[in-house]
Amino acid sequence: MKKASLLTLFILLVSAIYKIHQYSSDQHLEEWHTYSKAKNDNKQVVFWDSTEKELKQARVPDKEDIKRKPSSLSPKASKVKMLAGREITGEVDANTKHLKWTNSYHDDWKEKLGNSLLRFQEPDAKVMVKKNKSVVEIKKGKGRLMEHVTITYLLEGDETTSFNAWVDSETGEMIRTWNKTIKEPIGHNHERQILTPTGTL
Amino acid sequence: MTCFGVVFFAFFLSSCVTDSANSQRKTQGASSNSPTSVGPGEGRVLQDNPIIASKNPNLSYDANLSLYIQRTPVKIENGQFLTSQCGEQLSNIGKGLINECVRVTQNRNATQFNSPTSKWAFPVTSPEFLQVNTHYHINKRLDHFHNNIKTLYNHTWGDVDSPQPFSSYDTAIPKYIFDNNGHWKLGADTQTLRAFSDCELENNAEYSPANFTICLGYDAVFKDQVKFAQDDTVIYHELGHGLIDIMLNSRNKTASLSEAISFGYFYYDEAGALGEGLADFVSYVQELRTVFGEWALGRFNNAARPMSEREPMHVAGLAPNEDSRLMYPQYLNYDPNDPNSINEYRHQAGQIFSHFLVALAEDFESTDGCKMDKQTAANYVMKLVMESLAELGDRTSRGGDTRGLGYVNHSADHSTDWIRHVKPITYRQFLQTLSKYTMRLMGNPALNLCNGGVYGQDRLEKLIDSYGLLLFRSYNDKGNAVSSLRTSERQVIPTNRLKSSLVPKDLLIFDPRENASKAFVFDRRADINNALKNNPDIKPSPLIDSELKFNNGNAKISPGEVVGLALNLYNNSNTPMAGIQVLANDWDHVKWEDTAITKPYKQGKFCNNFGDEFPIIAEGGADTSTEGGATAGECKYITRENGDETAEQLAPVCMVQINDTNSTKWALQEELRTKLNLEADNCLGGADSPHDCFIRAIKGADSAWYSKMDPQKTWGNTMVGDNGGSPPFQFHNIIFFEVSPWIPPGTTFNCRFRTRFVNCEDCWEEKIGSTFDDYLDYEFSGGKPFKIINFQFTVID
Repeated sequence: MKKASLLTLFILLVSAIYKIHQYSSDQHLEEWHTYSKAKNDNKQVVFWDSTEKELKQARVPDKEDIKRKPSSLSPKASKVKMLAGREITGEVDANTKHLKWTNSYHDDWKEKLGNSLLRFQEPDAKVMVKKNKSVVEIKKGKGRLMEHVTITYLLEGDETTSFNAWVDSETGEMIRTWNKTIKEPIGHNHERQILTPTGTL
Repeated sequence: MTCFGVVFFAFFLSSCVTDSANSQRKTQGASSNSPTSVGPGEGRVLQDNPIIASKNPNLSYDANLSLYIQRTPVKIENGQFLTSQCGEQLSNIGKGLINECVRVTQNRNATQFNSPTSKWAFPVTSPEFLQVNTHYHINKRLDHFHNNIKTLYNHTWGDVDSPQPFSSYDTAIPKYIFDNNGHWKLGADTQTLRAFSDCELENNAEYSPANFTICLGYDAVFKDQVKFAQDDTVIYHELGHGLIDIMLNSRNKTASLSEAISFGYFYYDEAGALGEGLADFVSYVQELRTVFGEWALGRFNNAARPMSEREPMHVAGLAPNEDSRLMYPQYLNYDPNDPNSINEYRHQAGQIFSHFLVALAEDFESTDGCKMDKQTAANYVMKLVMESLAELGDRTSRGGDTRGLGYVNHSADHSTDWIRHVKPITYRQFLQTLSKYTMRLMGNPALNLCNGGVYGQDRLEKLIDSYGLLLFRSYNDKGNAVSSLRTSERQVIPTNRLKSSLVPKDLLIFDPRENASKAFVFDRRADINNALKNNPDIKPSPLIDSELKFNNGNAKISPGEVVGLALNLYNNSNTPMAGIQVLANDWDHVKWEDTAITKPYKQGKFCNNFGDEFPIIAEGGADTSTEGGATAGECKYITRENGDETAEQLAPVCMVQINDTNSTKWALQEELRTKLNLEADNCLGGADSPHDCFIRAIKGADSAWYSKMDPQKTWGNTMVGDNGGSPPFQFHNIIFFEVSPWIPPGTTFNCRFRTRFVNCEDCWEEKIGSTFDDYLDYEFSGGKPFKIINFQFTVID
């Protein structure tokens, strides 16, 4: 009987740990990480905490901004709903008790994302990633764990381009992107790339 | 008497000093502009850019700019740092006010400088001056912006704490816009707009919606002397992008959504062009001048932009009258600084919009219009723009608090795809929406905004038509939901369409001329690598080699390649076509036959009822003879939920030719996979994506835009003009496909593209009875609004 109780307790404990891991998210704001192949002899992607120089080039809000109080205090209670520490997006009023999960959380989603972002870039390219928050997207009875990130590419000549993205918390795959930087290049300094056809069909 | 003398003397002195922003600016010699010369909270700025302030269009790069700062101090900031509030407290519980909404520094890493005395006068060559100048102009604009929202809210909902809908006016402005800061930025960490007044950007300025930053750079040649932050119109333009971002997402922010809508997704699309024109117009609303960027852009880089036909920098023949406007689409590629060039660039294409908005404001001013003063008129146009943006950017799909789901942008689940490329914001759509709100506001006698009269429909339509922009036939008041009432829409007066040309979609064809090709192919490894490098949000399948080693540059489509295709389309009409789009995203063009099989492995046959009558039944096409049009999954029924219904599924554009023993047929790619016994995991999209197993358009690169095609020409002919040569293809002109390494060489594919253009007669609306109405949004999952173009090719080794 005692063994059965211990076994039951053990099973419950393991389940709890699994559920916590499944939904795991780091809700407080993370640091920027820089990804590059350049610092590794095997040309594998490595990452480090972004340096001040990189943050300056990227023109991202600095830590002092992040630590300040919110820029306004919303007088109405937030409409945001949460599930295991993650904001619910999509069908926010859906019943979450019997959700089917399409993915699970993997700690290395950020590394996978970094690999993907550098896939077609120059060997010395750098890309910076910051997680903004973790969410659960609910659609038609299915839940998907996603990460809301800001991505900034450090380009030649102090140029950068940034955008936001939803990233799958398991595969590191970018699902959708938005908020790409709007530039005003003048003269011949256009960001466009002219392509010449190889031929015709 | 002595007191009177002192007063008189003081009055005499004060009359020598410029005292208001609108008075003639006189310089009184260079000023050291030191903190001791102003009071607390005050500073001095360049009220106008140096060209305007000096009245010298040839002002030298090393001119003494201190001669042109406004002598009378202006209010800057009462605190010790250039950090400001914005908005206004509209209720006792703090609604409306945004603390720390703007912070200005020299650049990202610079510490905010501290003025302990709160005095903001600095030498004009100092970095502090640039920051003060930036801070001043941003806040001046934000005051206007928030005031516009407040007055618009007063027209619509009234009391902030207990809003009530105004029965005579249906608004897109959210009822609880101030409760959830819907009047400020969605999605930024801090919601504090960071402005960098001396950014490390050469010949450039930028707005980053992801980081909520404005970056003002410098001239490439005169790096130390000529700074973009010296030009107030540039500050207003960049801030304008931010304000457009805010208003476009005001309903999304109010609904606590995290993902924002962007105003334009491609390097060139009409939404991006509208955004640039609108950002220029923000400068007009602030300065009431019809040129943008005379100093940093115009003086040294020949890149200033006009906003009225009366500006002398325009070519001869343009004038602010009904016959000589900057017309759409003729002037889409026009650069007034280089009129002989042809450029497909959103800044140029946006000029038509800025000119129209200025003309509308001037019409509100006119004695025949609403007899408004200049500023009021500009503000009202801005209010109409705000309403239009709030509706068109709504991801909840309501478009307004009193409207149902699906009124705009299909549905909450698919709104992003709709706005991005399925039914994007175009000149047609924006002008239609703006017209609707013009009638609701300025044409509404109950609101009495037109100084005792109303701004009439006839007058509005004539003005729009003078720009070639009367491209819609109804005002679409009822919206686009499945349940929308199709009749009783306000109709455009047909006789008002004199200059705006609508062209039937069937006149968009492949180039019919002898020896013309059907498509241009891009498969050079370096080019594809560059395209992917410069567009990092485009992600090919893991099956594609990261070195692109299969890209052989042989102008054929080979296994393992990433290939770009640009269809060689031709305008077979006598009128220019504009805003041409080619779509290669999944759509509803398959009849799903076995209801027992679930997604994504549903089986079916390709429909042949889209006007192309391909493929015929004998070649594997679906039999639609018994269909009534009411059953999901059939050809004559278009999915209402963009493929989410159980019986429906969207299908990729490319079908494959399969040779059976006795016949050849066109089939879903899954059939080939099964025939080849290929593991589903070896599909381009993995096991979850069997129907585009072998060839698919890469998401994000699955549609193409072309600004204009002249009559009886291709886009390429139009872009090179009389000079001849190779057309300047850019990334947005090309659809990128990935080709599985598992395809047997010799396999033939047919890709069924949907095409359309903005000034199309039958791409956006249809006649219902005796009146016109826009297609309902769900129709854009199918083929009806489009011209279907089939393109076949064989994969070779």
